[in-house]
Amino acid sequence: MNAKWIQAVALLALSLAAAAQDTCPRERAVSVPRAVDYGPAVTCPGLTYSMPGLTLTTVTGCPLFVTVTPAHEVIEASRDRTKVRVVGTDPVKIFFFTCQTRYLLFLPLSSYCTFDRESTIGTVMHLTTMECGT
Amino acid sequence: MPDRRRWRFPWSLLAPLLLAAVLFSAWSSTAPPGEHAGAPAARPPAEPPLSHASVSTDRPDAVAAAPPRELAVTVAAPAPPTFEQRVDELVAIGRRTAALAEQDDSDGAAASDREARERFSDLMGAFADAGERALDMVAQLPEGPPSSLTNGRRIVLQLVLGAALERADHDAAVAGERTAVDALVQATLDVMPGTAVAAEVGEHVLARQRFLRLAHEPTVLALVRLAATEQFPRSTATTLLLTLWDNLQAAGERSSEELSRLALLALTDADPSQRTASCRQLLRDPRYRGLVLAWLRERGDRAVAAEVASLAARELPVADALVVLRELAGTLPRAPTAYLALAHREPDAVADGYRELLAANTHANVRCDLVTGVGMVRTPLGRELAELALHGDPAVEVRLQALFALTAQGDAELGERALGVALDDPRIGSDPVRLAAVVMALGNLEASGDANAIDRIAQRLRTLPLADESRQRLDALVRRAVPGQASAALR
Repeated sequence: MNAKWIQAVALLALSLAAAAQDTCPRERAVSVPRAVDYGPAVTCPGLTYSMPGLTLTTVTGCPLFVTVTPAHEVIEASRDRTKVRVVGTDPVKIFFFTCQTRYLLFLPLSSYCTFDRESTIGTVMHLTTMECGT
Repeated sequence: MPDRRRWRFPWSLLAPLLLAAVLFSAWSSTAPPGEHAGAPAARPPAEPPLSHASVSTDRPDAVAAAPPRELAVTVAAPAPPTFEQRVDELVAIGRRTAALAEQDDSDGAAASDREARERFSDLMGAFADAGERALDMVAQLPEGPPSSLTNGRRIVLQLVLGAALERADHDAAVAGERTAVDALVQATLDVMPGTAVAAEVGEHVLARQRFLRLAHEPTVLALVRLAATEQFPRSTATTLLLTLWDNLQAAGERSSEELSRLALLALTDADPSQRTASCRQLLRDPRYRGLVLAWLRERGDRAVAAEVASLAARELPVADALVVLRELAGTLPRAPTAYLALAHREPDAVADGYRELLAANTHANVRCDLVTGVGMVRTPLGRELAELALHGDPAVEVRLQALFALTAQGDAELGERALGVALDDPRIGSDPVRLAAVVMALGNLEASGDANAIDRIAQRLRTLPLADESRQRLDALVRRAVPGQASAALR
């Protein structure tokens, strides 16, 4: 009886140890498409600004800023024994614009929505999903 | 012998008059009616007004209805300009004013601008149906890249249509009768699906204005349906629907309670415009806010959460928006654009939001976005908050966010100092993924033009465990920013 009890405790301890050793995070990489978000706009003729692979346009109004988040991946929980690995990073950019108005004119034909500056405001990651144990 | 010259018929005197009479007669029989009927600028229009039904027709009825005219050969007064001519005249004045402004001729520009205002006033006085005529011209504006003339016409026509709507709305308020203004709004909505330019002009004059009312709800919903089939701009449809709901409530045509019930029904609508309008309505009402947030959590859709975050940042009171954005963080871990928009409205409130979360040491992701919102703008507050985060925030991701903000301030010395502090942090200096962020933050210094600062930090970075991608990015930056260092970078 005592021996069986000891065996049961040993089995339980072994299985608990095995579970504790399974460090697989059970996660996967999920794609997020590129996002172009326009900030609040000031009254001004519209914007057309081109950069490699992207043209920013507004019809009326000059956006104070536009953020461009490239396509990337984020981590989500998974049922499978998988984990993710970082394979690269990309910058999240912000582009500032300004409405250049020399005079406050009734017919605002001399106002232009012009590019001011750009900065990197963060990073996104490129991830790949792989089996745990690899 | 009689002097023959005394008896000669005076053809030399009469010929020019007869020629003028023939030309005037020919011109008056071909010109559209009303263009030369001699109406002074401040009087009602000489042209028959356009009916709404004829906005985009050739108006044969107007020609038939024109009254007969008398030829007045002896009165050679110039005909008053047509609506189209007046629009083009305003465009010409606008371009001249712009040129004067470009040349810094402030007196000339001011005088020219005054003339534009006077001519505009003349136009509005001369044409009681200026709005309909403007719509007629808007519908015919060409698509594609706008020329200088087309762009000028669009600007003038927008002003005319906006002024006509204001005038009609004012008249409606005085008379207690909205038929005319409702008809002009309806005509505007009807023209909008025709061309992209018409949609843009319509949005410009109707969005966030008080003109859309209950009578226009079926047409606005029809535009929302068109947006669902990509035949109409989605953002315009959503903006019109939001404006309509605002106006229905403001005018007492629907109560807040009725709109909230409608919003509850439409919340699960597949149509994004309906969903956005519903979310906004319910988020504004503290009784329903929790319900919407729970629905968003359950749905777990990042795209919808991003849409609601953007809406909250633009439309809700800042304090409420901060609560909503924090609640959304479970579904939408990062929302920098929403916080940038919010900080544009009330930077102090956003900065206070950061300090509160820093004191509580919670919501590190939200702290990142709060630092982005205030810190990416070149203001003393932005700089102060970013420095607080870099030196005082326990979360390394928030420190990296502060690094982006400080390197983007346009101050190379400040940026270099911040980069040094970041690299001193072993959690950053030993992690290739975080070092990738540092390399990108160094790129922000490029705009400051301080090649030495970039070179010093680049040299330090090269001694750290950079990923291959980061090393290549760093080399490219040095090649661009540091003269004469291209070969060194390649080594």
